[in-house]
Amino acid sequence: MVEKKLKLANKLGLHARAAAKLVQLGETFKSEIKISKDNVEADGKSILSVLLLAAPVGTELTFTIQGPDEGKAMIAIGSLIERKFDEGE
Amino acid sequence: MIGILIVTHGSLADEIMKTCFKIIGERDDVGAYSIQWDDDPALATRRIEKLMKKLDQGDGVLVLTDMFGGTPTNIMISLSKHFQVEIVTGVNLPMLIKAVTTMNTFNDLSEFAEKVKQQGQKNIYKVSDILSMKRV
Repeated sequence: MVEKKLKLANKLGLHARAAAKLVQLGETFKSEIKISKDNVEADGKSILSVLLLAAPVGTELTFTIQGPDEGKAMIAIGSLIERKFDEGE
Repeated sequence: MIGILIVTHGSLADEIMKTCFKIIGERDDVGAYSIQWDDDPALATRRIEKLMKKLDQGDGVLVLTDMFGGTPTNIMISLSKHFQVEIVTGVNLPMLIKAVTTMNTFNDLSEFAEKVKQQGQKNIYKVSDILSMKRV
């Protein structure tokens, strides 16, 4: 299991399209992906669940990934967040 | 493969489909038909029938309509004799996103329709409830 805190830097935070990108990336991995903020935990492979986190810019999310490709998944997700979801700000 | 067709009054069907595609990306096997206020229902029925034939690839079509009792739903009820179809009313964006992103994982149309109905209902929130839950 790998766990990492990642901070959202894009202007709109985890809005609908960003959440969709995150989930679509997550779906390419076999591992289970949990995202938590405050006391709410979301399934990283369900867009509706991820949107419930209501995470604006600056939010720190905790990613907990477990499975055969957990390391790769964490790197890919970290990179997507670092790239501000490729939103071209 | 199950197909999805959205049928509503006004331009809602096309717009909600476009909005969904903007969020999750364009998908095949999803169609929309907006019945404009002065459209002839008989003509709308024939056009929807054509769309249904295109969308039905053997496992049937899930139809999402705006409101039970309205013309879009009534037209679909009349067409349901000729097609393998399940109709779920009260289409909303979370319901549509769930339907479009999980359509590949279902073979049974009735089971799929039930799941989509549940998700549509479940994803309506009073925002203050969610925010107070987070503060606990």
